[in-house]
Amino acid sequence: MTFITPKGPAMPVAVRTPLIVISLLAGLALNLLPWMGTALWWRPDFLLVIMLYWVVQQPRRVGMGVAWGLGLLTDLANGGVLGQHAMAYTVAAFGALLLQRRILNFKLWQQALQVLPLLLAEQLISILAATFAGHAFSGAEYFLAVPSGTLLWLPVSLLLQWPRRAPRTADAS
Amino acid sequence: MSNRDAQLQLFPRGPGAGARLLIYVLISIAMIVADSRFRVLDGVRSALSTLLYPIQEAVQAPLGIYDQVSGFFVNHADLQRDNAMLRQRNLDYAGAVLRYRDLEQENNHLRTLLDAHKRTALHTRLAEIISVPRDPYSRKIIVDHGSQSGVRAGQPVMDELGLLGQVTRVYPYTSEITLLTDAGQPVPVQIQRNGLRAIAFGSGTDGVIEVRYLPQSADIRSGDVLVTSGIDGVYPPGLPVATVTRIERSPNRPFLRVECTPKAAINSYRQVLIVDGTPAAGKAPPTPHVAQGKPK
Repeated sequence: MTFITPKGPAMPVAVRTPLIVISLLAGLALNLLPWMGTALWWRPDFLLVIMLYWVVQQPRRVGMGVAWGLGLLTDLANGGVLGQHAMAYTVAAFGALLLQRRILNFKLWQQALQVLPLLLAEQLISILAATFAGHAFSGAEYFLAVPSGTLLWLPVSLLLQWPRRAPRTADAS
Repeated sequence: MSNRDAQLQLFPRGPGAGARLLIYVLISIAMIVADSRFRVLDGVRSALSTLLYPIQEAVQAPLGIYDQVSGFFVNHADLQRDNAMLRQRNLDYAGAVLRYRDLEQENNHLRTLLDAHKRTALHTRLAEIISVPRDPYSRKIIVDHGSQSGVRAGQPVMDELGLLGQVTRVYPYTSEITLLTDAGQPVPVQIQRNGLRAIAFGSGTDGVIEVRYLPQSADIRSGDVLVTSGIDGVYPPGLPVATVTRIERSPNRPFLRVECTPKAAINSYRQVLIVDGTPAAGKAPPTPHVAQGKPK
């Protein structure tokens, strides 16, 4: 199978696994911070946005399986119904896999706009599961996490691109 | 090298994306049903939540460092003022405690005369909030004491102002507290002024709990203080719960609509008190959630 391997300099696709793992753990930790009051409504789903970023960048490594596992961890952390976020995250990751081929051709804010429907789908599915399990819908404020998550796409992409930029310029020179 | 070759496979084998999505969604649905309808996954939940504990602790570390650093730079004058204020307050409390002891003794004596049960003193333990679920639906918090330190499901939780909620799930090192404001969380209360008993339910929104099923003629006024009645054997009697803020008397409905504000500073503190040694703690399962939806 060696003939398939490209001969040129290593492609910038190579992302170190520790970076992926650490960023996902950081997302989980940010989700776990004790936020209070109205900030609770605006709080974006850090883990989801970071995970979608990796699905778009590294679809082979971070796919639906990882999404499902992370969703299960979120359910455990929330003390909610097991499987609620697992299902929602998997569907969002599936959407990201569909978008993955073209989304990187766009500018950052255009990418963010394409991520918005994925975040909305995640919220809708997790609400559907919660309603099925017997929780009551408490209001439209629930969806405030969608715009804030969309805005979060910009800093997340910039931040996670940054550690990979240095070796790439070194390669070019 | 072989590792990278595996990634650069020309024709990736295995089920397609749609099929995998279907598999994962079906597993999730099975889990949701198993968890919400049959409650068979509690063991799995408690085992897996031990995995999360290191992350929850790690999140606490920066907060702890911030507390220490900000504590180091406290102004000298601020410290002195705080100290003077605390000393004054301590004196006030000391006086009140002296009178309270006297009253408690007298009360116990009277109760023996009446042949009634004595009220036991409350033993509490301090626990710190380590995470608040992102899901703004469930009014729950996670604290840093679990079954290893003797917390049991069903124990009431309070802060220094009033009742906060109830321990609903216990993991080895953490436990989950459902707040009073969680939708459908019931608390048996009575009005402090006239002893009228009622049941308060969480409404699922911050800072509002409702008293349901009170007849239109009930003697309840805005400003009344609700305390726990203690007849359920879960909550000790006499803990402040809420203040009545709004009463709606409408002939269209069979019952009054009463809104109250919880006494406890639910969103302000990082420490809570778990009440030990209530008569029924341990025996009583956590109060089951009633079917939601407002009374018609």
